[in-house]
Amino acid sequence: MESNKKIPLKKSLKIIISTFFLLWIFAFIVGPFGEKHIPVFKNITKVIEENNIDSTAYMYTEIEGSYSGQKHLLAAMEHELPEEFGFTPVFISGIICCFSILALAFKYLPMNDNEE
Amino acid sequence: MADNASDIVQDVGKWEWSEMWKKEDWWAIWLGFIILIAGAVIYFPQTGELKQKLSQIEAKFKPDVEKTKEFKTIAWYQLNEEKAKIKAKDSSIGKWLSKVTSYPKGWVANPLDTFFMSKEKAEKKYNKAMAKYDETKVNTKTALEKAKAAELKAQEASFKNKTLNEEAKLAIMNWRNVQLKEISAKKKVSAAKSYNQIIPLLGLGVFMAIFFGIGMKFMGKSFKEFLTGFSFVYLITVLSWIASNQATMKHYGIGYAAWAIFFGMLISNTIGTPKWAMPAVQTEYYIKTGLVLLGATILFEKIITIGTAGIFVAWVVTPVVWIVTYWFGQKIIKIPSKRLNATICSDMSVCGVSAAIATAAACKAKKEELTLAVGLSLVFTSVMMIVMPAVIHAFFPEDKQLVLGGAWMGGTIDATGAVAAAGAFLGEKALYVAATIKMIQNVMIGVMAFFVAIYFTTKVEAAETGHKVGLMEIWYRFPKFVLGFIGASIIFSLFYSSFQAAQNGLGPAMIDQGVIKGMSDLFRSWFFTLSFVSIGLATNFRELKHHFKGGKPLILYVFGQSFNLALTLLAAYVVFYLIFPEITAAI
Repeated sequence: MESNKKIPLKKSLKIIISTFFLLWIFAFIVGPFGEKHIPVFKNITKVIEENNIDSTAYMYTEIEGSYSGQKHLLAAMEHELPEEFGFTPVFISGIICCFSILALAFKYLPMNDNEE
Repeated sequence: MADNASDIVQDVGKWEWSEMWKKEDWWAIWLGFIILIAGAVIYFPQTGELKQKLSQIEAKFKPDVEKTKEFKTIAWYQLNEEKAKIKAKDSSIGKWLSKVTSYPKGWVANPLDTFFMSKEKAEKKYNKAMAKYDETKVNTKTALEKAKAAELKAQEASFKNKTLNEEAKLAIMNWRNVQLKEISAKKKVSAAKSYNQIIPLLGLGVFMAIFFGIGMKFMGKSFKEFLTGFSFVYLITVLSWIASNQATMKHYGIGYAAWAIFFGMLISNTIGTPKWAMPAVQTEYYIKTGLVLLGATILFEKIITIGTAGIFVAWVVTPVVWIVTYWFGQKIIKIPSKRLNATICSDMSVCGVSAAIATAAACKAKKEELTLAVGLSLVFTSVMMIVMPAVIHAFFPEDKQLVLGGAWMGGTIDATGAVAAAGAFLGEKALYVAATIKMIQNVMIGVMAFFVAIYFTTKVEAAETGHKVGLMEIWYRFPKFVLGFIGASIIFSLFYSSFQAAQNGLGPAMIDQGVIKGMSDLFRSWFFTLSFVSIGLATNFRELKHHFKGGKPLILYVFGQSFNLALTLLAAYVVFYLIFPEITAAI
């Protein structure tokens, strides 16, 4: 693959510098202004800081709350609903539902040719 | 994903054993498994020691846990807190691995804070955190005494007096809320240490360059050229993490994926990606290796966490939303690219960026299609993180805000981090329910990736070539890294279940807090970042604009997410309050 440089160097550098300048404006002026003056956002920011939540995480493994939640809920289910806990027939029916839906999709999803 | 040089599917099904050391998909599997096996070798020998610790904790608290089923006793919470502290990754080698693979640190105003913290600054931070921690310790002690007194009163009435039981429950809840603040304050004390990230970051860069370079050599590419190019790609990767860890950006949920694509595209569309960097611009190679590591986090036993209610919200609603949105995209708005359609469906209905990556790789989507899907997801995630808790708070009845609100957010907000932030805003229970529903949806990535791979290999590509494909052709075209992804998931799910059953519930300590957080996770996000930087460095704005023609991807996302919001809310209400109210009461 070749480099796709098309813009003159001076213009390129101007664009890069302007971009970083705009990022700086957002990070230190616009962003904090929004955090302080949008009421719900202000509270969520406080919650993020207090609980040390990584709000940019993409997977459950990156969030402590997932593990705490799992432990808490598993223990609650084992403790109070042991007969309904685990791979019960009703639970397995949910998994079967999921695979049945996908099987139907495999067979019936449209095969339109929408290419332009 | 589709290679730029060959967008048309070639009908040349032919298997050669040499593929297993010459092709990228197989190298992704080998490299991914090298890391996973290393994790198992490092952490599994601790089984005996950790099992003993767990047994001691259970023996200490179990009698008080089992004294009543009317409410969760103080001992119940203490037992779970102590069990949570048992982590295989807390060994000396685990701590060392965590240190040498850590990302640039968080910063507020001074970007140098991401690399250095002096002893003086660390001491100042420590003193401030310690003062706060001391304050919370006093509050916790007071609340615990009140909770103990209330529990004792209830116990003296043999837990038969409903009023005393309710008072005990409330007092314990109050203690628990205060204790969580203490735990959070203690973490800030532990984090207040001086650091110098430069040497670890340099070392990690060298390691990853050699790690990936070996595969490149076997695939017939120049090792030296790859190493040279990798220095550039790695530099942009580190820059992406620096931007992602700036405080304001974290609050808005703008993570490494967005920054990696942004900086990559900024370079490629202005000064241009240097020719000498191109040998290391290997989107698929990095992403597939990361996906094999991601496979190990897809642990099937986790889907039982919240019982039948959780499986219906996460595993029945999700495929329905995916299919209806895909149908809408094909039949109504007529999106030209089925692969873009599928990728957007996954990121919107399953779990955002991770699902988009897995689906795009499974159906061989173009990098611009992945970029678009990820971009749409990130924008709407930030908005939903702020709006949904406000809506729940304003319009949901108070007794339904935590469980119903938590399930609704968990099933609809794309990114786990945003789900956690929104859930925590409502309360601990909402956080737990939301994060758990999202975790069960994360497990669905494996199912959806496999479905998409099979569907596109057997149906879509067959239609594109104009004739049916035989089994050998299916095998040849099937994205092999998916086998590594599914294989890692099955193997580690079996390990997890085995540790849970045979080793006294050691699954979380050994797999979650061992192989996953102590090994796989340390590298996975780095690999994904390298991949997104590569996407950015190889993407032209004009190509991206072409895929956004008519705003169809945006219309698709909005339709799908609106349907997702409606169906998830309905399903969550039905399962948590009409069909399985006992589960809701137990949470």
